[in-house]
Amino acid sequence: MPVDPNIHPHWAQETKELAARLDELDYFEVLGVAQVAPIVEIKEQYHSLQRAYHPDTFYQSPDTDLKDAVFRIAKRLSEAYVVLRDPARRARYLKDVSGDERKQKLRFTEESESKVRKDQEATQGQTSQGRNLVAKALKAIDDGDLRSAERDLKTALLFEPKNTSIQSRLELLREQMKSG
Amino acid sequence: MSEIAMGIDLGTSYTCVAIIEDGVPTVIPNEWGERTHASVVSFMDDGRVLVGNDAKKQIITNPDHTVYSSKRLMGRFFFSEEVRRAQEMVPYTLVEGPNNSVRIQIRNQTYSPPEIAAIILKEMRQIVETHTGTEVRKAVITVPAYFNDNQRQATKDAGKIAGLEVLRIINEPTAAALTYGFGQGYHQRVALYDLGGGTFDISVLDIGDDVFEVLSTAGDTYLGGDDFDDRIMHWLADSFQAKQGVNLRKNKYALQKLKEAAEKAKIGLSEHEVVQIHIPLIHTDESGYSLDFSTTLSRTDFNRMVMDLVQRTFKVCDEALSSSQLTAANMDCVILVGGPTRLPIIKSSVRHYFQKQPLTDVDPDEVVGMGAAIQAHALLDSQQSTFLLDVTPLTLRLGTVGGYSEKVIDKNTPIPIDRTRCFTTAADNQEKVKIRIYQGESNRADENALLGEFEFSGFRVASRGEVTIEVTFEIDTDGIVNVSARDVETGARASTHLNLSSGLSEQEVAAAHARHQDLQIAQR
Repeated sequence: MPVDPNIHPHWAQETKELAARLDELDYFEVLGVAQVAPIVEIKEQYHSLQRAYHPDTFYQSPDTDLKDAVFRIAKRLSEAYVVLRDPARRARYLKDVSGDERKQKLRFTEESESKVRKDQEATQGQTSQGRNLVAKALKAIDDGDLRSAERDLKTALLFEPKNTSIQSRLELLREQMKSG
Repeated sequence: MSEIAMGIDLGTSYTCVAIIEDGVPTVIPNEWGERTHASVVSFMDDGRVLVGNDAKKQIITNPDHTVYSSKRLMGRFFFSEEVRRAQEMVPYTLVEGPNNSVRIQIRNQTYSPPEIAAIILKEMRQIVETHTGTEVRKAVITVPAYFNDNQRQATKDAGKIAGLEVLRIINEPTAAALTYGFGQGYHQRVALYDLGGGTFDISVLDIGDDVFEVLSTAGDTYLGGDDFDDRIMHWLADSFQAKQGVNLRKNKYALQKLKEAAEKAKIGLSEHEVVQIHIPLIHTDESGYSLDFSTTLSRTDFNRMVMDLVQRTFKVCDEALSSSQLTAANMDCVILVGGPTRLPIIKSSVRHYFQKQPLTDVDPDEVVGMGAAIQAHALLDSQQSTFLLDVTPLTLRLGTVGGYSEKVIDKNTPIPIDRTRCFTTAADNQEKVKIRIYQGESNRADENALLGEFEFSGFRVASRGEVTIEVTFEIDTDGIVNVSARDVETGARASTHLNLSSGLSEQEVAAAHARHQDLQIAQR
């Protein structure tokens, strides 16, 4: 097996071992973050690991085993990132890997995905009035008319008081208005 | 001298090639100083083949044997809506090839769309080799971000037919971002509005010091500057008919002259409020009397003609933004890419939509090719300094019973990525499992692009339900889909056979490569 002179043999060995062990790790372990890590940290960590394992960096490497290994790791990094950056998926995943079926659920399953989708449908715009008002508010934000946007979101909340996505949009908007 | 890898922006209307020279991405002009080259191939009666701006001049005099806008046919099935629309527009003849593919008929020869693209790529290679005096074999080729797997695969095949090692297929807006972000220490959220000759893409990126992360992308592979030209062309045909009572649309030759005048007028309107259009000898009546056609077009009238096309681009922008849960106001800057973004109507509409002045520091015709050169150079150098984290533009789907489909990998998922699905045999002693995969956003299978029908065999033969086959769907760093399968219990890899595909088989690519080695591109 040809080795890559530009890469430390110890690092190459560790990388191959990591690739072989991926199926035993949960996404928090894959990304090397705590279960309570904020989204900014998830993103930073995803970037920094992609820097280390990005397949492009090894494009010219003669060590094909190493190339396979970084490709497998890069794929798993994307997979972990997609789930952990999304609050709804992340909550479901945390439940999955904290339960008895942890071993079967280290990779986000179809079943969990469909549960998340159902939950989302329940929280996003159950009423046509709510949906229309949110659309109007987004348009107003685009036009720079934050006051109208705030009014539309508040009215939307009258129709859907429990809709968390409208609530967070309104909070974000208010922060924006405060900062100027 | 170190090895050279080219970056090629293979556009619907124009192609541009760049390399890194003294650490700077540089567009390489041909010997006549032309920096962009019409994506046109003309097959002359005497057997010569012309490529680029020379070939474009043949559209009028040699319309049946001059191929342009063939990128619109890449990776399409013959029966598709896109091919039907192209057939109505272009004077050259499209015929059906094997497996429902498209072929271009030139006299007694047929060419696949990747073969035409390969001729253009060869010309680009020639330009760089003449400039540098060394052999060049490696290239990064760009594609619209919204290209599906079939179209990406066809582009890669074009490279192979041209005898190139295709290091990577990258998305046009992402390439443009590389050019802007190169060494400038940007830390920004950027929207790239990329209106090309035939396609429109919008991508939203987070650019850090060295990481280019695409958050979302959306596009329309049938919306570009060509459509703007067509609007003027039809307006010209209507005005001529009103004035002279003659329908020029029935005359291929006249129609091409109108199209040429339309493109010229459109470009003129980027600088002037009103342009004069004069087309000599557009029509000869029965008594042999020839008519010229003169008229004027104002910017206001043109803007009215294309308003709906411009609006369509913003529907696509809405889609990309909502997909990453952002709004236009969240963008730190907007970058314009593609020749048609020079139009004042585009500039002002983009400014209005994003509420900020769009950036046009780098020539919108060259910015993609330069980015491709940066990426090509980075792939040759393991000490590379930039990392592209792109997404898949379309949802990958699996065909299910009753003509439906289900999601396997969502659009805007970062790549590379893979997903596995398990299938059990449905009948006793079943020897084969067939699946169809698609890309698109509809639950109805046939409303999506069919990528292919895969057939797995070579697993254990047993009673029904006893064998579980795990199928892995992978999207690689080129955005290309790979499918493989294994028997879960034994771990044995099942053999995979692709039954239905718009593309070329490996043998066909090799045969085309051999055939094209003899093909000589004529010099001026």
